[in-house]
Amino acid sequence: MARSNLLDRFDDASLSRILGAAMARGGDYADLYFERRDETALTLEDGVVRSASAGTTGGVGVRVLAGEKTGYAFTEEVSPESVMRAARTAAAIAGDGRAVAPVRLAPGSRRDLYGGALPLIDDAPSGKVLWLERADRAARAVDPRVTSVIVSLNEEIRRIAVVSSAGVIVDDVQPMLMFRARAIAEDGAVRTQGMGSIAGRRGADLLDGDVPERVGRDAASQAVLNLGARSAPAGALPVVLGNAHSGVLLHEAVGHGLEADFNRKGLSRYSGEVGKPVASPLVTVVDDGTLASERGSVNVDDEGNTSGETVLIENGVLRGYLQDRLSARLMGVAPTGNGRRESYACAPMPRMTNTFIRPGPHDPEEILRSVKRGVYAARFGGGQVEIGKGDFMFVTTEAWLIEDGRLTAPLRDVTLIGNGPEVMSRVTMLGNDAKLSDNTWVCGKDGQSVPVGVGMPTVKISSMTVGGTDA
Amino acid sequence: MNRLELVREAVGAARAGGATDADAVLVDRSGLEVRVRNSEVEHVEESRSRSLGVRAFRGRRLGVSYTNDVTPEGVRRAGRRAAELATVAAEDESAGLPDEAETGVYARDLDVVDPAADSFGVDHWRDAARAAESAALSHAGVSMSEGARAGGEHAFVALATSRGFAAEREKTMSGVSVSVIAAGTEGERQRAQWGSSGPHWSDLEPPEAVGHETARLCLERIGWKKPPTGAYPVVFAPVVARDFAQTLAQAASAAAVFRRSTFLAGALGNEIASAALTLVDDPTLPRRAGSRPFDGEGVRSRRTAIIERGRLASWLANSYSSRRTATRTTGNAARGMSGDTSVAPSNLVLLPGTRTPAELLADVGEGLYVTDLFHFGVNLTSGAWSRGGSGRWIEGGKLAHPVQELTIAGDVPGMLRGFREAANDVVWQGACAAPTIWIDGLTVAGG
Repeated sequence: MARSNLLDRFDDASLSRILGAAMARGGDYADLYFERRDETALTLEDGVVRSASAGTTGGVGVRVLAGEKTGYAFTEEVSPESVMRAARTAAAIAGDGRAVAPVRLAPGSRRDLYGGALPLIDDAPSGKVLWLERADRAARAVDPRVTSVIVSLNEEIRRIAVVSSAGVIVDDVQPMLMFRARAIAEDGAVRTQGMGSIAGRRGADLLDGDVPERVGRDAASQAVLNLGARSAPAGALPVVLGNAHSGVLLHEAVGHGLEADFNRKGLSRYSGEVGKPVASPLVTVVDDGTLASERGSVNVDDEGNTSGETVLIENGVLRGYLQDRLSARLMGVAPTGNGRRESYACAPMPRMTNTFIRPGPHDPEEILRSVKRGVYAARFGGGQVEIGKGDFMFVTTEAWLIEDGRLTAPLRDVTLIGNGPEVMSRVTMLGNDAKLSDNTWVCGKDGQSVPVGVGMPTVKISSMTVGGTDA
Repeated sequence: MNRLELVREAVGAARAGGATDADAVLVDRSGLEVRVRNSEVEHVEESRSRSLGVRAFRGRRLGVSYTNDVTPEGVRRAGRRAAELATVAAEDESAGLPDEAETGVYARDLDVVDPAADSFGVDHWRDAARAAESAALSHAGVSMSEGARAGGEHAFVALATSRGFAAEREKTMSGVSVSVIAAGTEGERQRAQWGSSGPHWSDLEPPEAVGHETARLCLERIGWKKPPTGAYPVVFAPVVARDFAQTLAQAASAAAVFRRSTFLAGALGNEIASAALTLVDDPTLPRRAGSRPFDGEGVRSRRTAIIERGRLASWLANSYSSRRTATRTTGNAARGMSGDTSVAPSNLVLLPGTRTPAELLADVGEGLYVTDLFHFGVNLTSGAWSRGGSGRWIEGGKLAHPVQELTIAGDVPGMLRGFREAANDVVWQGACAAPTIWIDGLTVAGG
């Protein structure tokens, strides 16, 4: 098997020596994380390319674990000498020196969830500009009130190699393509915006067919729809969450609280709750990093562990947490392939990949019909959770008023707030239309951003606090 | 090669590659952070990171490249690549380096380098984090620590342009923070976090004070209720008044104005708020986190009144957005790792009024005192403002029980008109200072 060219200047003996130095002060595990990231971006604004950019960044991170302690150092100079220096720095976290057996390295297993696709980083940009122009034209064709359109294409190839004191060398080449549009619509003094996007670990085939037009129209239609939006009601109301994009609620309300680092320290609302009911029996929550070409998928995580499918909540009962190596070892369980990091400059943490609710028994139409007066939330700008208490909030970018089981009027930006376990226990209907959102979701934790996928079927929450202005 | 030589080298390579103009910026940071929990060191991280960004102009066409290979060959490659990428972009009459009359270095020393900074090692930061954490845990009712962290950074920024600007700036930062959980009756859990940061270690709140404040913030949340739903006056504690100041600065960005993505577009010179509101951007304040002698494209730092006694007095602009809006750059070019410029405030100051916060509350009578806001919920394009938050209920002109699981909604134009008063208590956090403020016209929703 070919060895990653990230390791060109390092033979097994030198890697083994560096790992030895990392553990020489009493560490009980060490890993080296090699990364190189190539990116390009094109932005079309007012119909013309305003700028073209490209960059290459990379480096090597060295991590040493000693009990619950982590030492971390990195270098951007990819030579055995400077990685050795970083290893000695990271080693200093551990106290008493002791002899370390030499590490023997063997390649880990390989697979390909990305369909062998690679973005066209080095291709001539003229073809790419056509995609941007198509999205721009489609957005402007939606309505004459669309006054401004920005379309961008970002391509990325991230190459990583992980070498650990457990003796494993693994590498991965992770493609990412993102295509986004933002439209502004204006009518008199009313000004609104809409966003459309698609992303995945794919090559140019992500934009096959009329995808550029769809993304452009998506952004423009949303902006135009919001021109006529009215203010939302305020107070406790039934809420129906549309399928796919509403997965962001799950991500915030439940997902973060199930990351093992918070739980091993007893800091999460879900700490010590394994085996107990934490949601309506309708709800089964899964994190799955193995879905082909999805934004949150990875062949291996950033600790070299194979990604997997982890059932977090099964029929309402908490089954387990998302583990990285450190938490898994301290909790005495197996890693789940969720040790992720933003880059070589950061230590890994337990992070989500693609997180979703499995489909339920109800017809989405039937769910809507069951609501006398409430809010239907279709698209979201973002959300946030407070782990210790489980309180979360998120904001809609497309929402509707439900009256007598029908969508009657679009609502201006609505904030929905609640408490994770409480809201999950109020899931009274679950649709049969589960779907992953294809938007460009980015998850932030402790200053580190990673790409993720979110999804769910249509869900009815019997009551949530809706932050409108009509009291 | 030193940093200035490297940026000049990159500019030279871009010119040799066909660029008519170019600039390059090199950011070089080193940092150390220690995290402790229950007094044990949990995480030590040492960092040294360098990155170089190049903008190359072929006439009025812009190409951008970046790298963290800051060897002479690496920066030359980045320069050539930027020049090559400029062939892809369209002509843009507003693109280009800033006008030479605007470039330069602010004359006075801003005193943002702590002479002690480089002597702080792991032991120093460990002790600071421990002190903050133990102080927080010393309060009855504070049941758990989420951890404390302390650390510092020393950064250099070198910038050179093909028009002869070449300068380097330097800054240190220190910070200490802690977060704790308090348990009330019947399984109630509350969490709070507090910290202090700035260029000089000696200007920070002492770690013990940070710990005590964290405990106070956490304990005052115990025993909460949902507030009533309705239109109430809302008083923002200084930490969240800061959030309002930042929202206004973003809305006043000239980049948002030409993109039509701010509700303020078209309002320059108008009375947009009550005369109680004055908002200033000032990179020239000594010893502050956002202070700097020149901006991300070499424009000399200066003070800018954004809102002056309620009148929208100026956009915040870099040179590109100033040309697009037919104004002057205000020296607010920010420059990310990827080399291109955007617009961002430096130090943002919401000016105080004359009365104490207690006097304000007495006049409010009944309403919401908000101490925490979730981040999302501001739509700058439409001006819609709908946030989740928590705080205290105001009853009889005084702070009463804590309130949570609430939303506050309205729109920023309405908040500007409903801006009643700023109190006289200015609190600095990071690069922003704000007092307690009172805003009318918002809807509070609880259970």
